[in-house]
Parts: sequence; structure tokens; C-alpha cells
Amino acid sequence: MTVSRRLCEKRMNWTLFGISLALLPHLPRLPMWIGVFLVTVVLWRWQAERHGWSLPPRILRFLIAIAGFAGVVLTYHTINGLNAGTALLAIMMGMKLLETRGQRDQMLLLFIANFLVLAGLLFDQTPWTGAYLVVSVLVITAGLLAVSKSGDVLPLKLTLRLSGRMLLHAVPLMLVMFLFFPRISGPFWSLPVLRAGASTGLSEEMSPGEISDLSLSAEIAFRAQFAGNLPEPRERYWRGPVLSAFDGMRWSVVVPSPETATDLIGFGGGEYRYRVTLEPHQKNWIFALDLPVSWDQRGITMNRDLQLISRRPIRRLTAYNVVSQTRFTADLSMPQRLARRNLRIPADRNPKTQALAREMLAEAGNADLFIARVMQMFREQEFFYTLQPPRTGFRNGVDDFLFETRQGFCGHYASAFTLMMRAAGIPARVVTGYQGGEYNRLGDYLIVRQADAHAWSEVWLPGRGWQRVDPTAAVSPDRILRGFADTLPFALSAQERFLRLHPALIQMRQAWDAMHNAWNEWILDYDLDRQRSLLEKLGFDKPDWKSLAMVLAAGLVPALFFLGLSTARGFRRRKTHPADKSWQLFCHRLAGKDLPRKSDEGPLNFSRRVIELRPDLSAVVSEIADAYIAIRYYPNPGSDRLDLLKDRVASFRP
Amino acid sequence: MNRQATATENESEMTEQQRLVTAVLDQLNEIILGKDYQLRLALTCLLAQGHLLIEDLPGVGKTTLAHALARTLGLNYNRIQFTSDLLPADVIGVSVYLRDDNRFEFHPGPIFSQVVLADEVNRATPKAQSALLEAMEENQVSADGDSYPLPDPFFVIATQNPVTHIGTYPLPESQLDRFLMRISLGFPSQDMERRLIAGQDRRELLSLLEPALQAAHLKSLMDAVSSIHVSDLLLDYVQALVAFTRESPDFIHGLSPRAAISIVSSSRAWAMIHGHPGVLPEDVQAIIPAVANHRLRLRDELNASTEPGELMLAAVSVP
Repeated sequence: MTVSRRLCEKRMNWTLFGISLALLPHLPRLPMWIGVFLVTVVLWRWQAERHGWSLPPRILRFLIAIAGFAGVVLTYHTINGLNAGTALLAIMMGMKLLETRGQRDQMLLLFIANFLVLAGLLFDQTPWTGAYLVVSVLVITAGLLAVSKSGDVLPLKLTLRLSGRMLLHAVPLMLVMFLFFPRISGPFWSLPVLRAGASTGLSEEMSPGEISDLSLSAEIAFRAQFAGNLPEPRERYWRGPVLSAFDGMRWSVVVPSPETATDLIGFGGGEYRYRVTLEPHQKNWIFALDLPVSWDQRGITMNRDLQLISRRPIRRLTAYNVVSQTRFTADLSMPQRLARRNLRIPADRNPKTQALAREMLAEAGNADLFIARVMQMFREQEFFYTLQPPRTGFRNGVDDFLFETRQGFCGHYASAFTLMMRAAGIPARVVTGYQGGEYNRLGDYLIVRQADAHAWSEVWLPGRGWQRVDPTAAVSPDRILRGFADTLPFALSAQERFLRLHPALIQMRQAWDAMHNAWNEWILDYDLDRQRSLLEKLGFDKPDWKSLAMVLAAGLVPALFFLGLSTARGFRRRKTHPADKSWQLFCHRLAGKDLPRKSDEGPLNFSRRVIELRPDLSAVVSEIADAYIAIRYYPNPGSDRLDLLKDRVASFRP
Repeated sequence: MNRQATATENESEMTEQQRLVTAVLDQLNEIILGKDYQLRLALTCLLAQGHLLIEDLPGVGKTTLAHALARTLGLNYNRIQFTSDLLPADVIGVSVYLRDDNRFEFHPGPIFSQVVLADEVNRATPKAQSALLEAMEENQVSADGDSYPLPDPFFVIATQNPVTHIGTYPLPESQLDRFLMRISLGFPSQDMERRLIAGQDRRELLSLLEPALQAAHLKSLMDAVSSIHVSDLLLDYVQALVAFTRESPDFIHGLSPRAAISIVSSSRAWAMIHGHPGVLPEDVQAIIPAVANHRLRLRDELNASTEPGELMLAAVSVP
């Protein structure tokens, strides 16, 4: 009895191991009470199996089930959707654990665990999740092996190895399915999208005076792979939201009219072709090198502020191809309304700055010289570039900055510069986005991180349209030419500094990122278009679902065939020797008389046993056995033996 | 007509060999009481030209069996008592410098004998053991750059104490593999032990023992072994057995091809002893424990209630 208890415990441990692995990544996403419930149930069941406690009575289980269901409805206000569905699945798994008795229940639990693992993929598709998925599926399959085996559970290592081999067998099948399973683009088929999630990076507002400590996040904003030359560092301005409204302290976006301004743009100079893989940021903004000329996605349009906008918020990794030209003229003639908007400043705020601007304009005489003078001021006077600027007053923030603190980051300079322009009657606005990007040699692409976020100014000059002016470049040229990390190494987090200590670490990090990028490129971003182009490479003229079906069948049928063949090898049936047929018939007849041949019993031993038990049959049994042995085991039996055997067996009636 | 004639001829030849085998076994049974199966295995092993390892507790008649075998088969034999200070030279011999002739002369050691009794082989250090085992493998002894062939036939009958005993150097698995069979005698039954205690001293009996075979007889028996037929069906069975040991998770590793060859050659000898013109599954089953047990290790050795050989036989069905 104790042995079988031990066995049950081993099986239960495997089951608990498998489902714990499946639950683990969900715990942080689930509400606290579900997490507590699940951990409790798993730990309780583990102990219950060890000590032989009895399972809760039916009525208690029923109550827990009702409570769990009600809890989900109260927490999520629905039982539909990804979050509520996962929560419900997890709770039901815990419930099942309370009534799991035999192997069948444990197998069911492990199958549910597989579902949960899959559900995890709906939340997050990073390579980490992929790796975790492989590990958990390996363990769950091992658990299934352990639980479904009739005898003793095999040692851990062996079970895992068997499970690994099974998964490897599935790999060719997986590849074929991944490459050729029809990818229908539509709301039903695509991954559900999470509504929640805080946005990181840029926002619709900028108020530099209120920030006293800007932290640099190494989180990736997007990656850009260029066909041909990379733009120079000083040309790497990635255009984002344009801030036109100013209330004396805060710059914010004025929702621009959706009309496209393409007809207002003229280009000159070299163009860059590249593909951007944009990390989800929950906003509609599409980042492109200032200024994009054309792009390949129909859902993307350019608004009146020359910013690319996606029709839907970017909630998952999005890739698009863009062509940009870094030299351009835009809005040569500006409508009155637009000009007014870009000149508007609160008259009673920041009076010193406004006075200074007017004074400098009067001195300079014309706009060009005025701009140059302002830039010269930033360059030559004691202005410092820092991420820990002192706070400024609220009412006259720019005054405080320009005349007192004189320390700030890009936002301060862009803000002060733009205000001075407007005060001098030059239409101007703040443009936010990213500046720079780290080149990844391994993957040949630029990585742009949140830390590369930047703000600069645009001024409108008659006859020339919008011109980019970056006052930060005057204060700290390094910021533009060499990027953030080299300009202000101490502003980086400790981890970030560590990663830049040694070239080897930098390289390692780049290799890791290149891997990540490849994952994005080839796994996550493998969509209908890529599938189509793959099929075209395979020689299909106009690939449609029929060619897909053909390729799928051509891939799957041989894979399944070989899989089946290797499985069937165990049951291979050979042509039966005529003597064996007679012998089997003989054994069959004796089995009918309660004298079955044991599987490990040879013909000699069997016939002796039969004769011992049934002396009356001795003559014919020994005749048959002798003949059979002579035919199948001895040299040169002679054909008459077979006839004899057949004859004797045919008339054998024990 | 012709075929039947050869068959009868074969049969009469069989009976001649049967007679010899029976004589040998009778004589051995006189010395070692109540161990017919083990004696048959021992004889099988020698007829299959393999080396024999007898493993058992001290005092159950290992050495006596080895002596009896050598005498009965009419072979000259030497006994080497393995001790912890035994040197390789004590086994294979030494080169002695002859001052008059200004040269070395090789003085062959006790290993130059048709039957070598390596008593308590696991009491010696691995170095001395390997001197013996190398000779077994290569059928010759190399000393000072010259090689000296061992006599033909050359059998090693080694005895050893169970490995768990103190003061032993267990033979490594690779060297165990060189023994065709490993048998153990076990305690005699009550009746037999009574006869043993009441009867004459075994050593005295041994010294009175006359060879039951001439050299030519032994040769003819060995020839007979190699002419035993092995059918395809039987090879299927052997392969299935070996495959089982490789696939089953119960074993740490499966049987080697050499072990499979050993199974077939032992089965042939067993079949010959029992007068079968071809090898039967029963012959294989009879020798499997002796051939396979020392070559296999169970994964869960401590809890195992069955020997590897039994496990194999129970798991693989006879075709």
C-alpha cells in the first residue's frame, strides 16, 4: 500500500510542477485574491497528497466554485475577454485540483496547463516568453508522460529527455505550420489587443520647468534598418508630436486638422530608405526620420504638422517602410490661422524673455541674424546642459531659466528658443521626437531608445517655410553628434553605466538586441505579406489560399508520414511463416483449454508443460512441437515436416 | 534420401558427443554436489571458448569447481592466488638477465597454462588484474618487446568475492565484459550439504580425479559447438532481447554488440551440450542470466527485486 501511495505522490508532484510553471507568468497579471487562492490550493494539495488528507466535500467545492465565478465577474465586470478568461481558467484549474483523484484528472489538469501557457503568449510575445514557453511545455509534456505511465514514474532526467525528444519530433510539423498556415488578416484571427498599459516615452505635453530629475530609460522606442547609407548623426531627427500651444509654462499639442500637407512640401538632397520596427506605445504616433516622403502602410497618414499618424494606436509591434528626405521645405505659404496659432503667447507671462527677444530683434534687424544671435547666446553664455535642472517658478518659468538657473535639458532650450521667436513675431513651434540612435553593427540597424527622446524648434521664415533649429545643439553639440550616453554618462542608471563599461559588454548587448530584432522580424512580424513573398520565392505566381493549401499539404503529409512510419516501426508486421501460423493455431487451441503459452515460453518448455499437465496429449503435442522446432530452429528440416505440422495441428482438438 | 542420410550421420555424431558431455558432467557432479545447472553453464562457457567468472561467498566451492573443471577436461592448469601485493610479473613472468650469455631470458609465469585459475581476482590491485585481463583479451603476453603466445586452448577461470566485501578491488565494467559468463554457486540444499559434510574431503577427491576427455575430444566438442545451426527466427529473438535492454529505461545502458555475440555463442554451446542441432529459445534463456547479468546495471539497483537477465526474459516474448 505504501508503495502505491508513494507513486501517487510522485505523479501529483509532476502535475503540480507542470501547472505551477504554467501559472507562474500569469500571477502578476491576475488580481491578488486569485493569486493567493491558487498558491494556497497548490500548496495545500501538495501537502494533502503527502499526508493523505481527504479532499474537500462536494458542497464546499461547489461554494468555492460559485465564489470564484462571482469574484471574476466582480473584478472584471465580464467573463469575456482575455483577462477575465484567463482568470477564470486559472481559477477552474485550482478548483479541479481540489477534486483531482486519479491519473485521468491529472492528465486533464496538465492539458489545461498547456492552455494557460498558450494564453500567456497572448499577453506578451518577447523571446523571453518564447523561451519560458518551451521550458514549460517540456515540463508539462514530461508531466503527462509521468502521469500517464502505468507503472512507476521514471527518473526525472529520463522523463525530461523523453519529453524533449517528443517535442523535437514536433518541430518539423511546427515549422511547416508556422510558415504556411494561412494567415488571414482580420479582427477574429489576430491577437487580442490589450487596452490597458501605461504609455512610456513621449507625451502630448512638455513642461520642462516642472521636471527636476529626468531619468533615462534604456527601453527601446524603435529600431530602424536602412537600405544603403545611414544618415549622419546630426541628421537623425525622428519626428514625433508637434507642440504648438503655449500657456507660459507648458507646451502642448493642438489637435491638427487631418488634412495632409504633402502638396506643400518640396524636397531636395539625398533620400533614405529604411524599415522601422516600432515598439508598442499605445499612441497613434508613427516615428520617421524628419521628413518622410512616402510609406507603405495605408493606415498611416501625415497630418498638418507633418507628423505621421496611424489610424489605430500602436498596441503591438508594428513595422513599416519609409522613405525620408532630410532636406525639405514645407508650408512655403502659411494660412493665417496657422500663423496665428504659432505666434500665440500669453502676453503677461515671462515678460523678461519677451523683452529680451524684442530687444535682440531690434539690434539684429532681420530674422536670420536674430536667430543666429539667439543661438550665439546659448552657445557663448553660461548655459549648461543637465538632466537635473533646478525647478523654475511656475508663472515665469522661461524667465527664471534664461536669467537665473541657466541649466536645463533639450526641453528647456527648445521652450525658451521658441518663446523668443514667437515674442519676436516669428512663427515657431516645438517639435518632439527622438534624436540619435545607436548603431548595431551585428544586425546593421539603429536602435532608438526612450533615452534618445528630444525636443527641438521649428521656425517659419517667409520664402523658406519651416526650418528646424535645435538650440540644444548650440549648448551641447555632443548631445546631437554623439548621443545621450556619451554626453552625460552619470545621468545613466547604474545598470546602464555597467553595460557601457567595456566594449565586450556593449557588443554582448548589441548581439542580444540583434537577436531580439531577428525575433521581431522573423517570428512576430511574419504576416500575410511575408508569407506571400515566401510563396512567390517558392515559385508560385499569384499565391492564394490554394497554393498555401498545396504547400501545407506537401509539407505536412511527408512529415506526418515519417512520424507515423517511425511510430509504426514498433508494430511492424512481417509475413508470417506457415509454420508459425500452425504453431499459433496450436497455441490458440491450447489456450482455449486453459493452457495458454506464456509470452516468454519457448516451444520446448511449452510442450513439456502441456505434456506434464495433459499426459493424454503427449504423443501429438511432442510431434507438433518437434516438427515446429525442426522447421523454425534446426538446420535442413525437409518439406515433409511442414506438411506433418499442418496436418497434426489441423486435427488437433485438445 | 541423401539429406536423411546426413541427418542420421549427424545424429550418431551427436550421440558420441553426448556421451562425452555426459561423462564430463557426471564426473563434475561427483565433486560439486547439487549444482547441475551451474556445472552445465561452466562447461558451456569453456566450450564456447569464453572465460568464466565465478562469484560467490568464500567457502561455497568456487575453487573446487575450477579445479574440477580443469582436471576433468584433461587440461594442464596453474593456480594464481590473487592478493593485494601481487605484481603483474607474478602473473605473466619475468625476464631474467643471464650473465654468461649476456642476454635476458623470459621465464614464463603461471599464466602460461591451458587453464588458469585466478583465485579471488578482485583481491589484487587493478594493475595486476589488468595483466591477466590483457592476456585474456589478446591470447598472448608481451614482455620486454617480445610477445609470447598463450597455449591453445586457453581458459581463465576467475573467482571473486562479492564486491561488497571489504578489501576488494571490483573489476571495472569494461573488464567484466571480457568474461563470457559470470556464475555463482550459492549454498547447497540441505540434502546435498549433508552428503558434503558426511562424505570425503573434496580436495582428496580432486586429486583422484581422472581426465574424462582427451585433447582431441575437447577439440571435437568445440567444433561441434561451432556447427550448431542458428536460425533467423532465433536471431530475431536475440536481437529483441538486446534491443530491449537498450530501450528499456530500467537499465543504465544496454547490451553491447559483443554481448549479443556472446549470447549467441553461449547458446550454441548450451544447445550442443543438450543435443539440439539448432539453438532453441530455451537455450538462450538458460544462458542469459550468466551472460547478461554482469554486463547490465539496473538504474534502480537498490530496490530491484529481479536480476537484469530475468527482467529481459520476462519482458521479451518468444517469437
